[in-house]
Amino acid sequence: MTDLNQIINYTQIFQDVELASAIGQLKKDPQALSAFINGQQDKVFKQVVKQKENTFQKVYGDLNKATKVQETILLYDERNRDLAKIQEQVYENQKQSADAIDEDTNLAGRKSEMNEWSVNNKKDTLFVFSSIFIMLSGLLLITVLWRMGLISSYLWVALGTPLIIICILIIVNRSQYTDTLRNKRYWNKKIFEGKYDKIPVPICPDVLQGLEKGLDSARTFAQKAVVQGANAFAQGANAVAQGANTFAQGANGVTPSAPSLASAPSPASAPSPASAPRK
Amino acid sequence: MSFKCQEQTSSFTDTEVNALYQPVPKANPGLLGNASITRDSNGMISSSELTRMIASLKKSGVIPDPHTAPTSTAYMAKVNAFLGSVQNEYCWYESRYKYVLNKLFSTVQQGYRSNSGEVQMAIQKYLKQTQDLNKKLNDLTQMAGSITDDILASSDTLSAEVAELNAHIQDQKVKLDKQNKIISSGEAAATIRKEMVRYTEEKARHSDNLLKMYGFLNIVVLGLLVYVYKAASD
Repeated sequence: MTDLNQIINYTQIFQDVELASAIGQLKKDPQALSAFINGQQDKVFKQVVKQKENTFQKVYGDLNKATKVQETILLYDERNRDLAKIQEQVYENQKQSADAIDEDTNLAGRKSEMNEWSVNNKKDTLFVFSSIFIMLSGLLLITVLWRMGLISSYLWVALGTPLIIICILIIVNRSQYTDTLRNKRYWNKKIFEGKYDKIPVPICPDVLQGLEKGLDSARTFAQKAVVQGANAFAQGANAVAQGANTFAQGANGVTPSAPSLASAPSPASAPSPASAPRK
Repeated sequence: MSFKCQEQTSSFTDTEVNALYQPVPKANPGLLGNASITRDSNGMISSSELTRMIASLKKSGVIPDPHTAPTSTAYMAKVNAFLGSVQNEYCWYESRYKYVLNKLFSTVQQGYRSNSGEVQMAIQKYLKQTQDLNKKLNDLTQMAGSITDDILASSDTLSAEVAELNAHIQDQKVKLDKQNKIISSGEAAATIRKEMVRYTEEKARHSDNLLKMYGFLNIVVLGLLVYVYKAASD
């Protein structure tokens, strides 16, 4: 290690000596000194200027790239805005279409209801026409019979008057019903308002319980009545069977070969025909 | 993207050396004005001063702002003009700097040969001019760096806007999908109801025919009735 330090020190001393001798030589030769200084100055000048240029070129390059990036993002932003606008327009158009379809659907629904009412009205008119036709046909028939002398004028009047009255009643009834009681939107619905108030139907727990109790008691009563009726019927049947047996026994005393009525099945507790006693 | 300044062949007078950047007519004004600048201990522009200067330049429209530009094309044109003016300003000061530095070295070299008071004064003058122009170039470099930072920051803002727009577009897409479904189902309902209208019209025609027939039959029967009744009267 010590040797190495010594070598370094010697080298530095040699360099200094060499530099001093070179400077001394340059001082002796002004032209060489001038050329040396020029060369060094030029070198420093170029280095300084190059450093400045490089630094600024780097910063300027960054600035340029940043502006390009911003331009790209700006264009992207603009395209996005355009896309959003287009989408908004499409949305509005579709909304209008959807509204139109909705309106069409409602309109078609209402039109269908109106047509349905109109058709049913025509059918009602058809019913009236057919009634008139039947009435006229009946009148024609009895008139022909009257003309042929098969029925008298009194009978003609007696048969014709009810026909006419029924027909008139039908017409008046249909007309009144359609004008006053029929729902103006739905043919099959009837209007219950106008003459009387609506029937109040309170939905209260007490009322519901009362209704349920009433239904239960009615069900119990019906079951009891059915059971009692069945019992009474069974008792009656037994009585009939007993009476029949008595009658059969009496009859057997008169005609031995007569069949026994006791073989007929009784509704309740009657023995089967196979098990019935035969004599 | 690098650029090369034009080589200055002619010499400058002292007035020309000290002159501020003078842009060509209708071109962007320079980044550096003649106002005093607050500097730190190293002679560099302080960060607060930089922020103030950039805000002022943006306000005056020297630095283009994407938010105030009417279109992207206009903005790009402004950016190109701005970059060109930065180049020109740099070249303006750089040519003078090179000239003065060269003069300084020449004078120093002259001082080796004859170190007179006049030479010393010239050295001081050129040294001062070199320092001033060096500051200008450093200021320009600092400004360019800060403007880059500012642009990148505003790019971040733009990116946030883009993200927001993208989210909006996605929302709209979902809405459109829903609307499409509504339209499809609505069309089906409308078709059915239109068919129902057609069907009721058909029924009405059928009823009309029956009504006509019964009307005719009624008239015939009535005629017959009248005829038979009249025949009986006769």
